[in-house]
Amino acid sequence: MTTTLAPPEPPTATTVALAKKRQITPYILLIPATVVVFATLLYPVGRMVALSFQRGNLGDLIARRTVWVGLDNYRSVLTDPVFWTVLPRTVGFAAVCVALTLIVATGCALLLQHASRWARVTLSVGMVIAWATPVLIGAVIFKWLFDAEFGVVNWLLTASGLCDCGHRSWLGDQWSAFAVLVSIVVWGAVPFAALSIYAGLLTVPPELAEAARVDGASASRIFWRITFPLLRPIYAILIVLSVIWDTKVFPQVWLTTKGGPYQGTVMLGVYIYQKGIVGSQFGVASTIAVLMTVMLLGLSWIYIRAMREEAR
Amino acid sequence: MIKTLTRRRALGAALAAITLGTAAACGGAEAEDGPATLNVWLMKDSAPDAVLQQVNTEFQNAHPGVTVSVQILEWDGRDVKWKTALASDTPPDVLEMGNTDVLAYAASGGLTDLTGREFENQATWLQGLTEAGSYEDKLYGVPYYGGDRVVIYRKDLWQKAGLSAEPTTLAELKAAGEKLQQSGGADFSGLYFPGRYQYAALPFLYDTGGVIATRNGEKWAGALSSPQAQAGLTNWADLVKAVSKAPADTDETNLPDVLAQGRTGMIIGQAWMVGSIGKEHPELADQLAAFPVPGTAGPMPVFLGGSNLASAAASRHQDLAYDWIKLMTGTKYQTVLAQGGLLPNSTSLSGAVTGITKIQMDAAAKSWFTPTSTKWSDVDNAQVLMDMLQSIAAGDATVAEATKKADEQINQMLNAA
Repeated sequence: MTTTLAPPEPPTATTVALAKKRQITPYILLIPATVVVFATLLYPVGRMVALSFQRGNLGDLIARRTVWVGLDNYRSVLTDPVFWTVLPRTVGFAAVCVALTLIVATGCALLLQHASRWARVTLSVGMVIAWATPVLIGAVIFKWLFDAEFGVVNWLLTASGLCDCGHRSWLGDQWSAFAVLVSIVVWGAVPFAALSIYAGLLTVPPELAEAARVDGASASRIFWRITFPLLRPIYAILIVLSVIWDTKVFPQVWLTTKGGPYQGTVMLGVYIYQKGIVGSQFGVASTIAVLMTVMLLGLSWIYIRAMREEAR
Repeated sequence: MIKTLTRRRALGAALAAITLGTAAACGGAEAEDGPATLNVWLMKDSAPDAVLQQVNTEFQNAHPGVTVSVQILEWDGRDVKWKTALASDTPPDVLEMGNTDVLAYAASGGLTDLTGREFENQATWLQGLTEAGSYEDKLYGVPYYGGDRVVIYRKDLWQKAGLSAEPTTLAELKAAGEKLQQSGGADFSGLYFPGRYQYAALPFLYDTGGVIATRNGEKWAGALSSPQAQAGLTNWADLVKAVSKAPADTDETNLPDVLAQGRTGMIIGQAWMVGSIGKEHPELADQLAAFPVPGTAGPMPVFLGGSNLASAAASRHQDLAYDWIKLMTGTKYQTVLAQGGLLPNSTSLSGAVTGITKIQMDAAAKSWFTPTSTKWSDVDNAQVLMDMLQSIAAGDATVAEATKKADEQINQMLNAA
């Protein structure tokens, strides 16, 4: 700006040095972040991609052999019937979890907005505690809640006379096992989503809703016509994040069902673990991981583009 | 230190192959004079601390300047630790591995071939443990201790049901279980038998002359649907249906608690559970007793579990590792372990065992082991047998259907390229 006002000075030695320094400084400042991102993300991802083109069995790992197999791993994964069962199952599971998370979270956020002060504080504290509970601990707690022999759920159902559920095995049936898994995931995901939506609700000018109400709009109409459009960016972020989190679900499944009954709750995360860590087929496991990463990146990209276009 | 590091880097992966090929001479000699640390990785609940201390003191006295450092690993997640350790520059020198674990690591070249080395009582080692420690007729894992399952029962509940004599046949076991079950409430099992408890269920199949799989040259074939195996599994399913209220989809994790809480009169469990339940519930210490699992005729052939001791192929202390393994698996300390309730590695030491350990030792005379294919771990990891058992116990499939499906899976996995 100032250069247009003042007559251009002839470049002196100091200004050239300054300009050079300016050119370098941003890059120097970027180094720490770049190093961290490279070390924690790009390098492992690079190794994973490389490993997906290698045989990588236990013998190779121990002897540190690198045996390139070209596209063999991709061929075997893409022709593996189990992969084609696990993939749609994972997608369906994630879809149900994401939808339920957002519905429940929206409900909680609206409740927070309308509740009295003490109720709001109680609800927020409860959600923050649930959110702060490590996934592992949450999963173990749910496993015990639903335990067939010693579980509180069975005890409650039996004690209240709702059913004779002394030995009811929730994780022994594929659908009830899925119900338990969905509830673990949704339970862990709702607090973050609810608090984000609530934060968004606070930015919606109350006059808009008030004006609509004066004009006779119903509550649901106000939500869909005023609140939701204004919060669209928040929902976009929440959907993308939830899709990513729920697709790569692992500890919740591994700690409760281990993929059972009859391998019926094996999803991509568990499948990768079974192939790689348990079965020592590190090449094949990396291949599945690469495919999953590509799929997630693709989904996120398509979704973000769609959101952008809609905003225009 | 720097010298050894650069040398190791120069040798790189070749070292593993060299030590593997020429066993003792090469890997050991160079690094073993002067101060050294022998790293020993044992599993939880193996040798008691006091015994370990004795062994290490004796070892360190015999090898001045050498320090033994023992690490105890949890059984859960052990394979991840082994895999990363064996692929590292400084693997542990001695490893205790579960007997079903050894094969895969031996085949992958991670363990030292101990075939030429001498050990005490080698001729009388428990057959199942020797088999488990061998790959292509070479020895990689030295039998350390064994373990098999027995019926553990509560004497107080047994009395309440009016039972006295311990059953010696499967029919008697079932009758006793039924009588027990009638003496308790709606939640009470005669013999609590979870559906996925494979190492207690599979003996039924060997009891009637079946096997899991047979080998013909390089080819394996699942044999679960053979008439003999089906007969055994039918016996198992009948027993479970008659005397157990355990869920079909759980494994054996809960057993000690269920017995201690009085929700069952009997379990099939590992003999050390008698001691551990007694310790946790002192009031039950005198109420627990055990007998061999009865079969259709005589005791049932048990699955011989246990541990082997192996040495990492990339260890720089091959000779020291051998000496330590030799000491630990020799008569002196095996006798001490046996008196502590572990099954010693050799039948020649059967005189040292008493009580429940004696019952186990007798049962071990008739034992079996999982198919010795390097691909067996794939079947195990895919939980083929556990799923098969669950589907039978839950009534989701008949014995014929379930075994046919499992055989197909086994054929495909064991013969995969």
